[in-house]
Amino acid sequence: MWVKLLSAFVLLGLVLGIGFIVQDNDRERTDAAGPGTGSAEQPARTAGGIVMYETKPDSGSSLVIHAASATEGRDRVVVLEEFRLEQSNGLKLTGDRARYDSDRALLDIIGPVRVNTADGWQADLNGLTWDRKTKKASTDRPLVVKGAQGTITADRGEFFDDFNRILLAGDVHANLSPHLLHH
Amino acid sequence: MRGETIRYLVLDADGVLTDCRLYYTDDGREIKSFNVRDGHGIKLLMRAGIGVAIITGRYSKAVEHRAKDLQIEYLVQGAKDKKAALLNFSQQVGVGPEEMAYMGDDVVDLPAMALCGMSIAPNDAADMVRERADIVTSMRGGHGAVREAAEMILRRLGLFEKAMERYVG
Repeated sequence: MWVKLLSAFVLLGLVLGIGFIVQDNDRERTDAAGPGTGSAEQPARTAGGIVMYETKPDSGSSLVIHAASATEGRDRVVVLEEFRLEQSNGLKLTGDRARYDSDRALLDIIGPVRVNTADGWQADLNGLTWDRKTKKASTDRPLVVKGAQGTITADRGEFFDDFNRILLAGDVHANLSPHLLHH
Repeated sequence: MRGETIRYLVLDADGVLTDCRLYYTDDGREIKSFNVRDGHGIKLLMRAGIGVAIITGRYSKAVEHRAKDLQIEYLVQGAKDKKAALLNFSQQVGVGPEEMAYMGDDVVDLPAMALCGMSIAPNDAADMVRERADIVTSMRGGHGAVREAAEMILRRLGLFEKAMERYVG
């Protein structure tokens, strides 16, 4: 009886002991990672003058980002300064500052940004969020879209299919070519 | 003297042109980051008549794009035996390895490095590579090491001043 009881206590002690060791190991790992792990505010490293290529092996599509500097957070979110982004379908974006979350394929542009599409349209925006997975981008600030067929201004806009379709909202004004209206 | 005449610079990609980190996203996208100054160093060499080649053990679309952008004609990817790839390249261009510089960062590069007239390692290369390289750059791979190597080759060949003429007159 006593032997059984003693064995139970020893077993309980071992289980608790292992529990403490596991806890200590976890604490060590957290400490080693340092404060601010997982935060984009804690830069892991900065590089000046970078060219970043993002490719998909099973398709010809690619994205090239040129930036005067890139600061990568520990969560792999990269803050780009003075960037130019070119997609293989001819789409180009240029701006002063952007955050690119490569895991989520989410580009968040802060401040002025110019979008040029392969078919000759140009949009000047102030701030843009582009979800490259869903191919949808949006801005909630005034924008100007210019092309050979005219100029359109609006309070906000949404872009679909990598900027191939545009939905403008708010105070929308269009100054279109008479040639276009005849058709 | 080794490295007296250099007609080609042969580069490894990961750890030399990049900082060795490989990014793959959950939907299969691969991301590689290159240094603009390295690219310019390659251009300086090419303008001075020194060819540039990339021999890498992996296969990467990003490296393919980078090579295309820099107009690097000779790119070998998936080279498991870099020495064999180098000899094959040497035969194709008709230039012996003794007239080539090789820049690598890991032990798989050592057999090819040993064949070449000049061997260069980035500052953060594997210890064994750093110990055996003729030159170790002060810059890290993907952070200007290739630019440093390019300028060093141009200086050694007496071509640096001429290469800089278009910028400083």
